[in-house]
Amino acid sequence: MALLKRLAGALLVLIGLVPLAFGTYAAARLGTSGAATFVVEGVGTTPVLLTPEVLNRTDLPVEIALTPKSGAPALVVIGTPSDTRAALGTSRHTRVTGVDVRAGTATTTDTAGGVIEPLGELTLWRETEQVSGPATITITQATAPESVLIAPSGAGLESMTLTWANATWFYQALVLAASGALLMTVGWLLLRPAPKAKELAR
Amino acid sequence: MTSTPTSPAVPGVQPPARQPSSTPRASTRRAALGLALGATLLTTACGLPDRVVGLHAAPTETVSGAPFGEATAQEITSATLTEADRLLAGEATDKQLKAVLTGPALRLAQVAPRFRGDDPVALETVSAPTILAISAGRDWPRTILATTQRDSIQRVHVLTSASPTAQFKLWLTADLLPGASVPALPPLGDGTTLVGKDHGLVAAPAQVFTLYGQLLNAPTKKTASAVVSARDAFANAIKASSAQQTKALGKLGTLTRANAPIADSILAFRLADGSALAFGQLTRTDTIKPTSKAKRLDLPKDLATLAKRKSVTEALRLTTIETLIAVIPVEKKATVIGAAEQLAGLSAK
Repeated sequence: MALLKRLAGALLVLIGLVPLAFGTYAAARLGTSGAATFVVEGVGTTPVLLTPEVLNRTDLPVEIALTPKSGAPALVVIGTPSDTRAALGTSRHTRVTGVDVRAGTATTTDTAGGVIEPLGELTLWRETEQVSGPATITITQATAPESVLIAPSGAGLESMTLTWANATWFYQALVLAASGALLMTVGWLLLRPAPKAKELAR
Repeated sequence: MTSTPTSPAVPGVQPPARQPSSTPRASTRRAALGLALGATLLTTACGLPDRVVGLHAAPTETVSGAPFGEATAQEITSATLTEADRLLAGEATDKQLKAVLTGPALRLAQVAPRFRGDDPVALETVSAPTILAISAGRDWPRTILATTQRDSIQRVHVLTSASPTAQFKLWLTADLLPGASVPALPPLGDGTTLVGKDHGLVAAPAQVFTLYGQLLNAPTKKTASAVVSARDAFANAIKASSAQQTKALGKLGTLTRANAPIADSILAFRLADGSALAFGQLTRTDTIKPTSKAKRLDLPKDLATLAKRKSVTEALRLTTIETLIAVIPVEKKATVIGAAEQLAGLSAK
């Protein structure tokens, strides 16, 4: 019975370690504002497509932060997924497919193809924006589902990040860490040797 | 409740005190163990992290109905009509015209200025456009049906976009005949389908326009059709003009008038009741030949100016573009509710 308790204790310590570590890491990374930022790596001259599978998976607004290289404005267009796909056609582009929480990066897939046609003059878009310096575009969920297409020009983009912010996530991370700590405490209580009979008799 | 068994008492010897399972310390351990297991189960339950973060499936795009709203359609129509007005009022190049106009509207805009006379080709759009219909679905071509008012004349405009990367262009503008009105169309948000091969109408739009043209031919033995009526103001005017010219020529000349639809210039929107609002363009060729009794035919002053000669000895051939709007029902006869004509060519020998 004692051995079983010790085994259970060891198991709980190990199990508790995971939420404690992850919760602590997440709370530290999110900060009190609960902002989760993911870097879109490898951006450059290739158009970047963001679909509803990334933009509209939560009820939160998504902030797309762009920094074009000096003298290389980028065109950002927002439209319905089918229109965006149709306008993109068989053009070369990078599609953001999701996020890697541990790496803090967005996952992407590249599609080979021709050069994209000029998009700015099209009447397909709900919104178009020419970005020539660091800029943040916020996509709310009111008009979901939508796609965003970023067409760089010249030297292309220097960087791009996606941010979702929810203050509750910080507190959830804290609760997770506390749960892990609780599990580890209980595990330690079970794991530690039982008091000897003599000590009890005293 | 069960009592905990105790060891028999031995005088002088105090038995080692056993920790009973029901002591507060044991209870705490059990409670903690239960809490820990519960917490473990909760945190590892299937899909919990997604729910905690608030992740859900992306909403699905609705692909039926109109591909954009009324405000967007109005913006597109206003911009296109304004640009078309600007180009048509001035001396635009063919390239400039092709950037804004297409189909029947481009054909009319390309008519040589000398045939336009004093009548300006510009649309002279006065009122803001009212959107009547937007083609349904997400495919291309996409179309917008709009109307504007100039004085007491109601104009109908058809705009079309051929592909995702193509701008909307003005495809046709035509005036409604006095007293005519556009029948009810489906709600804007639902979009309107374009009539295809499976038309379900009294006759296909192309057939209606062909038959209508035949009724306006001169001379013609066809005075009536089972699918289209030619008793509107435009048809009456054409028929009266044919009779008048034939009478004026008498035995000195002959008039032949032939109408034929222009290929790829017919478009029909499905109306709310299943009928169709069809737009089309016809070419009318009027040929006047002197008979053997007349050596030559003197031309009226306006035609003489255009032909750059006072008379013809062989034939005078006038080409006119007729732009028509027709309502084609499921049953009964189709009727023309809008029409306009423009002289587009002339040859005199």
